[in-house]
Order: sequence, then structure tokens, then C-alpha cells
Amino acid sequence: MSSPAFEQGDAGWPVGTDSFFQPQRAAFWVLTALIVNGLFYTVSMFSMGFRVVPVTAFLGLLVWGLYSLAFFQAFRTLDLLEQHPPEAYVLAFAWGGMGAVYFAAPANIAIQSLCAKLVSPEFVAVWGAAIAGPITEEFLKLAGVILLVLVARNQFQTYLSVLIVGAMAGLGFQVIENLSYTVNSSMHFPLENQVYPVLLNLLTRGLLSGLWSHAAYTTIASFGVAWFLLHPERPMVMRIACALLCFGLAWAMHFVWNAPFLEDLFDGGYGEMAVLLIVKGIPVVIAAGLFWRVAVRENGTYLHALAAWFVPERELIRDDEWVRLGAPMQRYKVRREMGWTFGWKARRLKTQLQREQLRLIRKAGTYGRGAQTLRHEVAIRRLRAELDPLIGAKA
Amino acid sequence: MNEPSRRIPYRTWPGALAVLLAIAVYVGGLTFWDRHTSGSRPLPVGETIDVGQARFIPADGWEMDVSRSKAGKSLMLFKGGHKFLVTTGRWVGGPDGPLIRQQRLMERGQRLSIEGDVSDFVTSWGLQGKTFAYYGSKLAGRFWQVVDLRRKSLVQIDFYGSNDGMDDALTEARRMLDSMDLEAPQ
Repeated sequence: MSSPAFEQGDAGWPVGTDSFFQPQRAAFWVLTALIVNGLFYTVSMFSMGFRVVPVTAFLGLLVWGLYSLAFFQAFRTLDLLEQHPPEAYVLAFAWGGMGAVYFAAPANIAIQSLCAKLVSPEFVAVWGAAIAGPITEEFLKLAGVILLVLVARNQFQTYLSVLIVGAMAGLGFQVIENLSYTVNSSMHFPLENQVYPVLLNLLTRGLLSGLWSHAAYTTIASFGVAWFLLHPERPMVMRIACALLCFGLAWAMHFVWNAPFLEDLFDGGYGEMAVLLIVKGIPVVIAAGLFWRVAVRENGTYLHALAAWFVPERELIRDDEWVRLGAPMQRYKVRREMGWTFGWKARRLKTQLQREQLRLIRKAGTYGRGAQTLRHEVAIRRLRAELDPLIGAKA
Repeated sequence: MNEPSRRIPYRTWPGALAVLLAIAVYVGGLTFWDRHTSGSRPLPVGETIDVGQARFIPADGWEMDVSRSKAGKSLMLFKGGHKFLVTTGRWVGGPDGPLIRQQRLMERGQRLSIEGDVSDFVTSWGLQGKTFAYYGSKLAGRFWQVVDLRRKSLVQIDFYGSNDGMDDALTEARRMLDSMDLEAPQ
């Protein structure tokens, strides 16, 4: 085993990253208090839903819960959740679903009400959602991302580490908003049936809009926060301008989505509505995809540099694995191909191996090599010892 | 890059306070502005107004609350402490409409009590439906519902307010309902 790459720092501060449980920091308590406050609001809102439309509320909770898990699984499959400990995602999701939703409701109502008073109810019917939603919701979701960064600033060393937290805050908002819409729509549904509103909302808000909704917008806005945070060498004006630019882009995409653009070209049928949603959503998903791509590449460069310094042993990270360190899709492709060729067990072992390699690099980058990384080194060797015979036997 | 992360203490209260203040100013400011902006709109005396397929003649002195009205879907009128809300929508269910759901919403959601039984009503224009009265700790009201299966439409009229002056306001609400038909141009 190699010795630790460095000793306790010159500056005298302990080596490592801060956890997200920081009771001595004001940002932690602000974040927690606002989440708990939102939790009471959300519980009271859904308890009413359970009393009035119990089937919808229960089924909605189940469906949107599974929907969240599908997103979590997608993030996990791409190893994006390796960026932080689980509590970061819990806090981000809870902020989006509870903290942000709590404040978004009165602010959106006030904006729409003001538009009705100052312009007309007809104006609100057409433009209300586009005017109120984007500015309020993007601001509030991003406020949670900023608080999380304040809580444990040194956890955020790459763009990706900020983007994934932003996406999780957006997902939390999206899921609770969808659940709320589902329950409300059931109370005004043109049928007595309580199941149809759930299915209809799952189709329209979940499947046809899910990929280009809040998670995508907050990803884009979070990139500005990441750039601000990770480029202290740049002039402050430029850093603020970049953050505002990304926020403006997220706002603009949200605005276009909520605005009635293109609606005249499509009739009210479900088929045409699906086409409309896809046409309006594709630019958002492309833009969010580009930001993810930039972040993943930067994360790849970061991982390569850490691995080159801290994990030079080729038995721990082989050349082909090294190349794919910063390419989650390629890592996923290798796992899938391994599953097809060598079976499910080989795929599972390869997944664990890749994950342990990432953990080793990240932990070594944080604390240096030593006793703290031994567990991962042993795990990698054990997994490889199990995997190689499987591959060798069938090859 | 090759230096380890260090857990250097730093202050978060200025940033946290700034975020908190930004949220408070944004949400509180909008709410304050909204509350201090009048949403009442006087209605022309004796003229018909419509919401969706429903149209009726407002009683004298009733004004429109623009912030609680949704174009083509709902119309909120108020006079003093009394409200008259007309909501229209699509209905493709049974002839009783969403009456049970409405009662469940009032009883279980809004903690109101239904007074007596549901009864049928017919207006002088021939509008037919069901109605019931309800009350709560601070208000009382009456709910009317008209289901038109042929047009697949639903009209709900909810009148409520404080007990002071309830009888007069209810008389005016009934007069507005009596003037209602479902022939508004779409």
C-alpha cells in the first residue's frame, strides 16, 4: 500500500470535505427551517387531498414516488450520485419539494392576481402561468442550491457536483408540484373517477413533459452558480454575469414552455398536445444536455488529474477504465455489453468495480491515499478477482 | 488539484441572511403589493355578464373580484362580506354531477357542515339542478349545481358570507341565479 500522499496541511486546517450536517453554520439552519416549514404545508395540503379524493391522493403518491425513484435510478446508473453523500440529495430534493413549493404558491398567486387587477383576467388566462411561474420558481429553486453550497462549500469542486444538486432540487419541485396538480385536478375532474386524473397527469406532466421540466431548468440555472463558485480568479462582474446569464436562460426556457406559443397550430386533442409538448420541450432538453456535457467533461478532466496523481497503479484502474473515467455513458455501455456477453453477475460486478474506482479516486483526492482508501482498494481487487474468471471463462 | 481539500472554517450567515431576505422581500413584497391593490370592478347595472356558457344579470351593488375570477371559467362577485362565485366546466359523468365530491370537499376539506338535505331547484328560466345549504364557524352559504348532460357541461354557483345581512344577500343571490341561463355564446 502506498503511503499517504500528503500530511496534515501547511495551513493547519484538517484535511477533508465538510459534511452536509453543519449545525454550527447559519446556512444549515436556514435551509433546515425552511424545509421543515414547507413540510408542514405540504403535509397539510395532502392531508386535505386524502380526505377529499383519497384514491387519487394515495395512487398519486405511489405513482409520483415511483417516478422520483426512476429519476434517482437514472442518475445512479450514470454514477452522478457519486458526487456527494446521500444527505445532499435528500436536502436538495426536500428543498425543491417543500421549501421552494411553500414560497412559490403565494408568490405565483400574488403575481397572477396582480396581473388580473392591473391588466385583466383574460390576460391572466393566457399569460399568467408564463409570467408568474418562471421567475418565482427558478429563483426559489436556485435559492436552495445556493444554501446547500453555503452549507458545505468544499463539497462542490466541479460543475457536475453543483448541477446534480440543482437537478435534484428541480426534481423535488417537479414531483411535489405534479402531485399537487394531480390531487387538484381530481377535485375538478369532469368525471367521478379518481384514477383517471392520476393517469392523465402521469402521461402529460410526467412522461410527455418530465424530461424538459424543472429538473432541466434548475440544471441550467445551477451551472451559473457552479461557474461563479469555481472561478474565483475571474472578475466578480464576469462571475455574476455568468450566473445571471444561466438564470436568464433557465427563466427563458421556462417562460416559453408556460407561454401559449404554437398552441394555435395544434387542436385540443391528446395526440396533437403530445406533439406540441415535444416540440416545445426539445430545445430545453438539448440545452440542458449541453450543460450536462460540459459538466461531465470537466468532471472527467478532474477525475483524470486526481487519478494520475493519487491512483497510478494500473491494477486498480486499467487503461481502458482510465479512459472512461469521465464518460458515464461509456461506462454504462461497457456494463451493458458485459451483461449481454458474460451475464448478469458480470454486469453487477463491473458496476460495483466502476463505482469503487470512482470512490477511491474521490476519497484519495480528498484525504490522500492511506488507511482511509484501503477499503476501496481491497474492494477493487476483490471485485476484479471475481470478475476476471467470469470474463476469462466465456472469452 | 493535487492539494487535498481542507476544512477551513468560514461564515455562512451573511450569505444565508441574504438568501432569506431575498425570499422574504420577493414573496412578502408581492403579497403586500397584491393585498394593497384593489381587485374590484364595478359592473354595469342591469346588463348581462357571462362566464363560460352561463350568463346572468348581477344584482345592484355587486362588484366583480377580478383576482379571483378566471376568464371563461369562473366569476367571483362580492358585496360587503358576501361572495357569489359561478364556476363552469366540462362534465361527462353521471346526472348528479360532482355533488358528492363537492360535499366531501366542504365537509372534509374546508371543515364546513351541510345543513339539511340536498333538494332540487328550478328557476324561472327552466334551469334545473340540486342545491344545499352549509355553514361553518364564521360563514354560511348555499350551493347550487346544474348539470347539462346534453352539452356535457357543469355550472356551480356558490354563495357564502358572514351571517350579518345574510338574508338580504341570499335574496339577491337567488335573483341572480333566477336570471341565469346557459345560452351564452361560446
